[in-house]
Amino acid sequence: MNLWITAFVYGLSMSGVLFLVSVGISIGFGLMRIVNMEQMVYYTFGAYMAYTIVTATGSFFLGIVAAITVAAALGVIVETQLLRRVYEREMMFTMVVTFSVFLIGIGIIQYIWGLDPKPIASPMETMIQVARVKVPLYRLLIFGAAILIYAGIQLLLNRTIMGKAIRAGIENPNNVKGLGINIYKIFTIMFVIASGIAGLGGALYAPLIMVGPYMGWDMLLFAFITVILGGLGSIKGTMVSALILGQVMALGGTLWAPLAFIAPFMVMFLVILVKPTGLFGVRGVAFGFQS
Amino acid sequence: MNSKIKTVLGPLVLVALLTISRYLFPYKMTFITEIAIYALFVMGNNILYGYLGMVSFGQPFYLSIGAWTSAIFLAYLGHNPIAALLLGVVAGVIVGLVLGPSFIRLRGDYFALINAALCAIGVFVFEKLLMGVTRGEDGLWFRTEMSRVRLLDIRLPQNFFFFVMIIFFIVLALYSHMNNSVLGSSFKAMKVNERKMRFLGFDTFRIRWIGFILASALSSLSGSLYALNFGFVNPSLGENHRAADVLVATLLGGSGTVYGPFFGSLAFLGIKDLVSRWITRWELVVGIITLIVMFRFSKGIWGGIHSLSGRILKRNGKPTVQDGRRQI
Amino acid sequence: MNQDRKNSLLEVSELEVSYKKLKVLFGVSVDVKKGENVVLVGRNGAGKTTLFRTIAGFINKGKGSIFFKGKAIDGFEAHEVAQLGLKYIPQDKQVFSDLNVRENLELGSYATKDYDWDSVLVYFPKLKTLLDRKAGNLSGGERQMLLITMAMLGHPELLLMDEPTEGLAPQLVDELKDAFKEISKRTTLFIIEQNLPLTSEVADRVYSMKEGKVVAETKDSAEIKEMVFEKYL
Repeated sequence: MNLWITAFVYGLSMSGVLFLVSVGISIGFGLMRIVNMEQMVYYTFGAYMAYTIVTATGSFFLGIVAAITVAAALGVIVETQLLRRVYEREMMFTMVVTFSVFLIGIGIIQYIWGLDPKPIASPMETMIQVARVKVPLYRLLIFGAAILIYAGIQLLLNRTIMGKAIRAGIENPNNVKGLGINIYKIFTIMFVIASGIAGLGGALYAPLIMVGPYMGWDMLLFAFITVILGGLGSIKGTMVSALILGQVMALGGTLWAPLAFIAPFMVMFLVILVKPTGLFGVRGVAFGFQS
Repeated sequence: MNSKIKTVLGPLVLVALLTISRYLFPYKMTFITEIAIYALFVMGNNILYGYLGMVSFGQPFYLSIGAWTSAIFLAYLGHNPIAALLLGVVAGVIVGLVLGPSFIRLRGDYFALINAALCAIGVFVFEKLLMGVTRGEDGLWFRTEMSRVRLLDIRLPQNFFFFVMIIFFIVLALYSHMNNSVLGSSFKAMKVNERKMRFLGFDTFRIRWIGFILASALSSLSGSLYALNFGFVNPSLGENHRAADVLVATLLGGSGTVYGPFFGSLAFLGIKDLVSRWITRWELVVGIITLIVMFRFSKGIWGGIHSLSGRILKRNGKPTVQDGRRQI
Repeated sequence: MNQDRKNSLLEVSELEVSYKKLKVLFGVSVDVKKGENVVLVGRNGAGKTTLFRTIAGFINKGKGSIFFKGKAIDGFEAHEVAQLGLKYIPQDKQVFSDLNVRENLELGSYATKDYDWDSVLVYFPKLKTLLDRKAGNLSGGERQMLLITMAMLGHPELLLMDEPTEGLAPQLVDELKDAFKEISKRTTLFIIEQNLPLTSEVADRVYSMKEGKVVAETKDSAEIKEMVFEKYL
């Protein structure tokens, strides 16, 4: 029983990270109709920035701030310089282009930090008591952070005029332009938020894993699985599916170790083949099957 | 009669050129062999991307299927390399047959992703799950297990070169034939307007399935040849990172053409050979090249040569009118 | 001539537009003077919507020029054109269905900084009762009313309307017709229409398009009726 509780908590932190890195992809597709293969660049840079700052100053808080800032800055650069040019092109084109950016990002990281994995000390070792088990508080905090961000995004989308413009843009970007709203500026703002959040995810997750140039690879696939399961364009969907997948990986992995890696893929296969719109697929964004 | 000769002539010339190069640059023989083997892999991806317009981020999986099949056969079951090769191709065909129906009905980005997932699972399976058989990360050695083949002892590099040339010629000729046949035209037509093809009575599902199987078979053929070439296979052959390489090679050479894959293979491996002397960060280079090709060189090398010669020979200047794009 | 120029709100000259390699507009020239309602008629596929969308900035033009209020707006983004006072209302009657009517209007205000809803709701007072309804649940006629109201925020000088009465019941068409008369006191209307009675009542001038070209133009009301009928068949 204790084992399962620990696994559950691990699952929560996994869910937290999955949500943070997947939000950008979900919004990117819903709002801008692009498949954001380079999202993990922000995630990885976030982790590396945290490593650098923590090693230099010892302050994890500063590390997080640096991670978010750098990730968001990278997001702005990529969006304004590259993505602007590909909005009107077909989806496959953007997919290959953003994938190239991902590769370039890995290359740059290798160049700056080298190939060896870097360890980061966890900012807190506190354990708290849940039922009869001691679990790491840090993992619960990661989950907490994800929930906060989720709430923040929902507030933004539902209560602010910019959020409403975003929702309108997800449904019909042309009409938003027709009203006189500069939708490109909105894209950029959303993109900055999304990449910053991914960077946060990287920084938060870094102490739990080894920071290496290829950490984005597996996470990229997991992030896509999360978004596909939840439904592209739906933030609620991303949160729910992150919760599900996190537990699938943690509990499944406790059952049989390889499942931690394989189970999400099985989920993805099932979803794609059975219900491609995912759990909460957004109206107007039909996908999955050939026309 | 004429078209039959045309189909065979091109490949013949190419293979002749390659053989001549091998004698002109004897130290480059293994390199030339690899170009031909990789070209087969690119030809497989070319059917998916160039002819059918489908991006796959998981082609290395199909390559590794051929490679592992041959390797495991030679390591445990038999000694005949030709049999190993045939088994590899058969495995590829089977994979194409089985996975085809589920994969090909997916829309572009989903197809790309599910292949990427397949690739990741493949690596996991071969590296961890089947570790007992495949020896995991260390890889499987079987060079000593290969026996002499009656006509040509392909264990010797020089003979293997000829062997690869023969196979390359046959496959290329068939490829060229396919390009000019109804099947080839169906592929290209489907890329442009699938709905119309259906209206015309074509079973687009079956056509796509066939394309998928061909791609899978070509990839595994290439994989088997890789295995025979090195006498060794390890899981890195099927890694996700390699997915970008074959896409770049396809784009570089000129997607959707017969000789594009060869030029793509040549260009890609050539650049890799040159660059890796100075830069070990291969991903960076691949990424940059892909971007450049996507934005500037969408025709690729062969495509460029083709249209250039077309313009010189035919003087057919089509009046270009500006696009009316910009609709989100 | 000069006097015409001064009153000219929209001047399109020799406009050529293509979709990929397919040319759809072959040197179209139209102009709209301030206060003068213009209707554009023509069969489906004649290029009317393409013309409007190019003017509004959704489509890149090939050759030709577009002047609005004496200013060249070729190459402007759609939102920039809208900010200048030229609004386009598309054919598909699409509102932002996920938001309610009030929020749709809020977006219009956000874009134009015009929060005086009373002055725009006067055209279709019915909307006042629908403010909390989700826009996706509106009928076709109600959606058209909402779209026009949203577009009127910010007092645009020129309104490009793409088949506003399409698919609407005759009673609604009459309602719209009356609303147009009110609106045109403040805003110039350039409308694509297939509805003949409406055209002859609302239009001060009519253009007729066929296969990507303007083939006729007239001011005379009798001629309008005749021409529109003829060009149609």
